[in-house]
Amino acid sequence: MTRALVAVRGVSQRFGTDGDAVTALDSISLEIPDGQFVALVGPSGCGKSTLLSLVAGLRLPTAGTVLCDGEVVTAPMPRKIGMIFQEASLLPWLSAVDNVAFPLKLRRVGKPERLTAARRMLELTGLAGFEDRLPHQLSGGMKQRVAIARGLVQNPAVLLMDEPFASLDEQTRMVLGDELLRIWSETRKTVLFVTHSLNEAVYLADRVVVLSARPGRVVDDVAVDLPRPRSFAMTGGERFGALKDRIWQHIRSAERR
Amino acid sequence: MRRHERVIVAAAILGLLALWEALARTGRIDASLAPAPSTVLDALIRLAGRPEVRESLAVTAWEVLAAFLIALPTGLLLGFLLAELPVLGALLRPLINFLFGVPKSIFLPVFILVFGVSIPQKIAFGVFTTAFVLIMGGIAAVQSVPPELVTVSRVYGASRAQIIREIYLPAMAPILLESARLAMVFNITAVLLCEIYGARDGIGYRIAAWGENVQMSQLYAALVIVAAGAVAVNEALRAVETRLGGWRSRT
Repeated sequence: MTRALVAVRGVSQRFGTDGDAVTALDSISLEIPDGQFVALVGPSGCGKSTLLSLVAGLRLPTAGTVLCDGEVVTAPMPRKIGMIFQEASLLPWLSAVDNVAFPLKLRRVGKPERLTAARRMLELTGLAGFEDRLPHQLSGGMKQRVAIARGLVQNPAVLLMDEPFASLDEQTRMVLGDELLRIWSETRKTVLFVTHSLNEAVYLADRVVVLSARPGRVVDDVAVDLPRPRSFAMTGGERFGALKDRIWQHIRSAERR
Repeated sequence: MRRHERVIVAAAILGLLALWEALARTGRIDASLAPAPSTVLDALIRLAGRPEVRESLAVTAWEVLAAFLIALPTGLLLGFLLAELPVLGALLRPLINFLFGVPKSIFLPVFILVFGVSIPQKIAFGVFTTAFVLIMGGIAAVQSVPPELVTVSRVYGASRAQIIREIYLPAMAPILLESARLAMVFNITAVLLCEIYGARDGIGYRIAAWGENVQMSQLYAALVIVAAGAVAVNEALRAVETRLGGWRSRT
């Protein structure tokens, strides 16, 4: 196992002031080695997304530290971390290729250079030929592909994904899941993937981290020992079912409380 | 509009004018109240040739332009501040909402007391009336910026200036232009009202005079001129709006 590329050490997050403060995350520790695909699951409201925004540097934890590539995360690290949200969050006035090139534009990379990079990323995500479409001319799945291309355009080491397929229909979601695995196997990013779908988590990830209901704590850390490449047939298999079952037990007991 | 729609609209307007002309000529409608279109056209040509009418138009155009150029940055800036500073917003919003709903003409005497019957008075009243539309527009524009786009930009390392330039401005552009267009309509109305209420020059002043003397053909001719000017400004602003806001279309 290689060294931890992303390390979360004793991280707690509280919201609000003393009187009615809510603890969203309670001393979370997590080491993610380079190139690992980690799914983060847990009952709704357990702070999965909060944890992701802490890794992204969008907020600072109340206690503890987040490290990315050996550096303490105190602000967004655009060169190291790409992020994909539940809604594609594309700039509606920019074409697909300009959306993908947007992070490079913010870094003042020259136009020809950033467009070349953006086109390559659209090709990687299967959108060659759609470069000049505006977001409203793309389907939900295609928008999310653009968002993934945008997340990868700076060749970051880490990809944070916050329920990226949650607002897509089942079929699109399965296709995009396979696409993501293909892209991941080609680029070998470290992925931290928040989802509320246990199928998705077990199907995609090397490892599933289970958080408890608020305050969020790590209650289980499941290594997914299914072979790669993953196939749809595995989802009906015994091992797949057993892993899903183990995770489900935690979620169910948490939701019941 | 598609071509055949344009043809239908043009034909309907021409038909209506022809009907009006026929009714006026045959004496079915009172020509002193609604003079025939040909009479109005006649008056229009005569008026356009009179230097004092052209001067009045120039005065009004200047008042409208000056009021707009002052109100635009002031109103929008106030709107932005109210939207971005919650305390200021909470403090001033009730007052602004109250004034927004009140007919501004109530305050005309105040403007005459302060500025006298003068060009600055027209401009000041134009600014006052127009600013409210722009304040509301500024607030709506800020609120129309999707927060998730700001988050995305932060993730990709955008500075505050970049967030304003790359997200806020393009996201707000359609609403800003729409408010500017709407504000212009209010602005023209306000300046004309001012001139009709009491003035020494301006096309509104002439309109008031013709109206008092029941010179209906001149009155309608002036109406045509003012309407043409207002429509031209409106369409010009709309053209810019369509060009910059094309991404909003859902087709």
